[in-house]
Amino acid sequence: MEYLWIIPFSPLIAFIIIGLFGYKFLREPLSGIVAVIGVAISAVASIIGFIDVAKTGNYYDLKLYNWISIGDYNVSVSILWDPLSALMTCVVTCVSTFIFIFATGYMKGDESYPRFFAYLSLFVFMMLMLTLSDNLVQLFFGWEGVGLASYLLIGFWHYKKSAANAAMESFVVNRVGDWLFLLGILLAFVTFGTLDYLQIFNKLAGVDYVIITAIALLLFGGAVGKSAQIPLHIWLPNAMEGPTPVSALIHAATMVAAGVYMVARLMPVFASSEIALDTVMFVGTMSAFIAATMGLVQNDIKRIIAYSTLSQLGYMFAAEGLGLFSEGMFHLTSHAVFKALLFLGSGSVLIALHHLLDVQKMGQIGRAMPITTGTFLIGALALAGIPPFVGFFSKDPIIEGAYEINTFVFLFLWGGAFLTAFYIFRLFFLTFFDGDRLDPHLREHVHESPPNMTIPLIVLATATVVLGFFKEFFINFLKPSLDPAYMKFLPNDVKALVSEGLSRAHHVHIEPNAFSFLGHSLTSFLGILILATAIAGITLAYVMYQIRRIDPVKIGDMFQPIYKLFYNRWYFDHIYYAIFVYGYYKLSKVLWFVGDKVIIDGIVDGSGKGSVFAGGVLGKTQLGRISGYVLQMLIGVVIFLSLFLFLK
Amino acid sequence: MTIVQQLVAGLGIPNFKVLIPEIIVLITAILVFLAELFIKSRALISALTVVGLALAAFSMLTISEGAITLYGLYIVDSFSLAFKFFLVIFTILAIINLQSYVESKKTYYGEYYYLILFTLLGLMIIVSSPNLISFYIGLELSSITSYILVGLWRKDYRSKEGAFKYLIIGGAGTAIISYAIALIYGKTGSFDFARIFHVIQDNSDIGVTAGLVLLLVGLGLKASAVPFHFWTPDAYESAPTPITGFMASVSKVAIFAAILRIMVEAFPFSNQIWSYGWAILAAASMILGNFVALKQKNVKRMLAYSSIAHSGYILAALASPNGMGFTALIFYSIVYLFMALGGFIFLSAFEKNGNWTNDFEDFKGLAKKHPIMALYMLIYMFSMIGIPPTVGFMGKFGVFMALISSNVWWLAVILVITSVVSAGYYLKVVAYMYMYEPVNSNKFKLTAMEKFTVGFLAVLVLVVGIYPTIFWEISNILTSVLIMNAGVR
Repeated sequence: MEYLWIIPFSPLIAFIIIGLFGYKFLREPLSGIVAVIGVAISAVASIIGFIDVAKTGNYYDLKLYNWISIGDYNVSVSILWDPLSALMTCVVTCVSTFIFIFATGYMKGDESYPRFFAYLSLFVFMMLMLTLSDNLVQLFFGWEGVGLASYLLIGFWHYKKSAANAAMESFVVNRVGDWLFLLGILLAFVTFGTLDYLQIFNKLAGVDYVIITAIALLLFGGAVGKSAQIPLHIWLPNAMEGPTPVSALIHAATMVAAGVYMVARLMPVFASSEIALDTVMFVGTMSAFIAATMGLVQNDIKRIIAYSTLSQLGYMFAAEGLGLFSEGMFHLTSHAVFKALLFLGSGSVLIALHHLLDVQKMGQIGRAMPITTGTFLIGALALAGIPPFVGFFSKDPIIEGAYEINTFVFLFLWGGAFLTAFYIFRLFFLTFFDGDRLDPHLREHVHESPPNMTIPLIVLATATVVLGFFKEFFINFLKPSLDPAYMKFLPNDVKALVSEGLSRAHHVHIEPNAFSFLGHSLTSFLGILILATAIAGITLAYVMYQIRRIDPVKIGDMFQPIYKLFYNRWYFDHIYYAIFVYGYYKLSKVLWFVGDKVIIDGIVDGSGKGSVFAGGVLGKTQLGRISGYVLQMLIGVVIFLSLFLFLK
Repeated sequence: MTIVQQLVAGLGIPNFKVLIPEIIVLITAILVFLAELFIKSRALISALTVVGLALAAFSMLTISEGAITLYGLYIVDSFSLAFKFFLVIFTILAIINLQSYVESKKTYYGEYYYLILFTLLGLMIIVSSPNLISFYIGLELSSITSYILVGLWRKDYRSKEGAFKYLIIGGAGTAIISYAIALIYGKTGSFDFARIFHVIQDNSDIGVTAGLVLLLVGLGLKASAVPFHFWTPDAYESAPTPITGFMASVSKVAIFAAILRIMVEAFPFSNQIWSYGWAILAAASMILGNFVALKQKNVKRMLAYSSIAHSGYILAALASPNGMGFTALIFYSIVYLFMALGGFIFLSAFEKNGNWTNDFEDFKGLAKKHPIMALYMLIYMFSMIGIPPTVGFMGKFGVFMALISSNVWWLAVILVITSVVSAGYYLKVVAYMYMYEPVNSNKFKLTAMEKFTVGFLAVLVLVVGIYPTIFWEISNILTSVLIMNAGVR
């Protein structure tokens, strides 16, 4: 399995090559091609590794090199290759490959073309370091690295003020999560004396419940920031200022899913603490529902999809909190595919409409762009949860599982499903059909995108159709990583602990086979109810925005308070602005006043004036401060000395 | 027998072989001093200095065996050699950027060169002294020359003012150190670290405590730890920028090395006292340095406060008086050389241009005009905040782990919080460079040397950040050398 090192380093090499020679020699389109080749190589390597693991169900723990030693513990760069990381790695590399290809078309003519692909390759490298890591330090390294790459890419068009601000915002908000995450890592290190996942799992049984809960919650704090869950979600919609392939890759398919992956990766830790699982579940549920309500009323095509991403990530966390880790990871995979498809579809629309973002100003472009429309429809149906698309097979089990486990969660997820279907088809009808609201000048130029953009769309659409039928394969494939009974690397006492933690989901039975699951949901009451909800959402969108039987404006007026709440995104941004931006400003003013004015100027000036040395000869000049300094120093010496001589 | 022969027979000849680097630096200094009187070519003097230093650095590599020489006043071991090597190399990096700067500022003096060399000699003595007297001599040599270096600015009032403040406060500092030495001598009857070690181990009474604490104060002053930092912002701001870079990096690191050696080799049994004392100084430095830096409008002054804050981070490692703490201190102080010198040389490169005043305003849109240089500065800033994969992260990480291993949680928390605060001003530089439009499109003139120095150090910051293993191992080895040597004579 030694060849696995190719997976992360191939994009790194591409990054170095583009970084060194991008502007001088490669330029456009060669730098794009280098990047595509780099990521394609790692995609092939990871698929080979994936097949190996699928056949054998083994896990491999490769230590590439020792990085640094802290006490007895060696931090190493390493690869943990088991079904979970194999699946995540394959998702990252394969989706990246198609997005890279799409980007060669999307970024055409941009003056910073090489820089874009250098950043993208760097991002993929960091993401792979994250997914392949076998310890928390490397995970954190990748975690920060993807944050940096994301920052660079959101602000890619840094001459746009909004883009620069959004980059800064994402950076700052992510720091909040990262500090929690770092504290979690440190607490884990202090508790376990090691940071390797497998060793941590081995030592789980003897550790205090409170400490495990604290570790899990701190780590989850990091996941909340990275995966943009409430209350740290505000950066993601604004991050849409970046180029669309970036939104597709980083802010839909891969980076934002890192939090979900991390929770699954550390499943035994989370499963050891009921409080942690409950927190994951409720944060996920609330994000799933609240983000969906925010998505209802937005008009920016990319932001609508961004809110949808928030909401779907909420579903994944909810699944994990419910104990349905495999279902959560399957939804992650499926979401990566269809959300990348939706984003790339919207990117194709943006290219055709010269970066017009407001869906209220679009309309009737479906006929001119048949491939984009068709593939977007497939993505939208998958998101809404209509069979036979993959979204149905991955989202329905979560909602059905919630029904069996926790009614509260079920109600919100179920309501969210209705909203999801509604907002995505609102977007779909407004953009591609409905009345002709488009600027006539733009209308003349609407055209289908070139093949290097449509082919990734078609491939991803095909995957959206096909992937769902492999449900059983995926669930079985993940068992050695996520089902305690099958996990080879856990000792028995930890297995018992973990399976007790997951007991909330033990009575849930979800048909693993795709066909029997489809049959089951078409016959059972619950299945029909969920399906009917989705269809109702689509129908309502159709009635409101296509045939216009109900006027959306009137509805908005009728429920004005709610409409305003949703439109202002539940006032989260306002509250944060008031507390953090304004509060920080105030606080720094106070500190400056206390630090500079009172202490430094006050004491220095005050004492300086009193002293003979200053008062006589040098008092009127700047030099007068010196005696003040010396006096202050003397005070320092006296205090410092007395601290030791008299107090100890 | 002549008197000389009698002396030699009685005392033995010092082992001059291990002193070759110092001798080369001294000879170079004298040569430069003489050459400066006769040679007009400024480039030649600069080249002479660099060649002499390069020879000194090279001669260090040839020393295979350490020794205690000069009648027990001088120690050459891997600890002192490693630090001296870094000191000499970074002095070279500062000197190659000096000429273009002082010429463009119309303040050229040939004295710069040999004064720097004498300072360096003093610092080399500091890091290799096993005795409080030789330490004191080295300290005085380096301090007095530094006062002059700060004041060497033609017709500039602020430079004289800064130098004067530095002189007064630095002098007070040396005075305190001499009191401390006197107290320790009074108690132990010796200046020798090993002797002090042996005498103090069983009775750590009030006299020793007072001496040690005064020593802490004096050393803290030299390392610009709060509340003894007053000279730092003024001296740093008013000195010619390459000199500031030299003082902020080379001088400071030598002090850190000396502090570590004194604490470990002379006072290991009083570690409760000094670890607590350094912890207080470190906490104060981190808090005050970072918060005051937030309000600075001038980047050079901001970096001066940042240097105070970094003294805090580095000294914090001493709050954990064990191998992990010492390793963290050595690692951080070596890598701090990269960031500090790089940052100041960056400023000096741009400052040569008349309309550059080091204000934040000047940084507006720099990424457009000088994308590569801006990238280097970004690396430095990220490293000073401590964002991985830069070396600053590794440095802070090491200190943090050391603090946690000794359960000094309160200091670890201060370290983390102040690091977050520091992002406020470091990122401001980045934001001004990357997120504003340039005010005008005039490019700045930069010499190849400056580009090389800034780039080389930035790459080091990044490479060592990603692959810290070598430097970490070096720090580990130096720590064990230090601990093994304690009390052995």
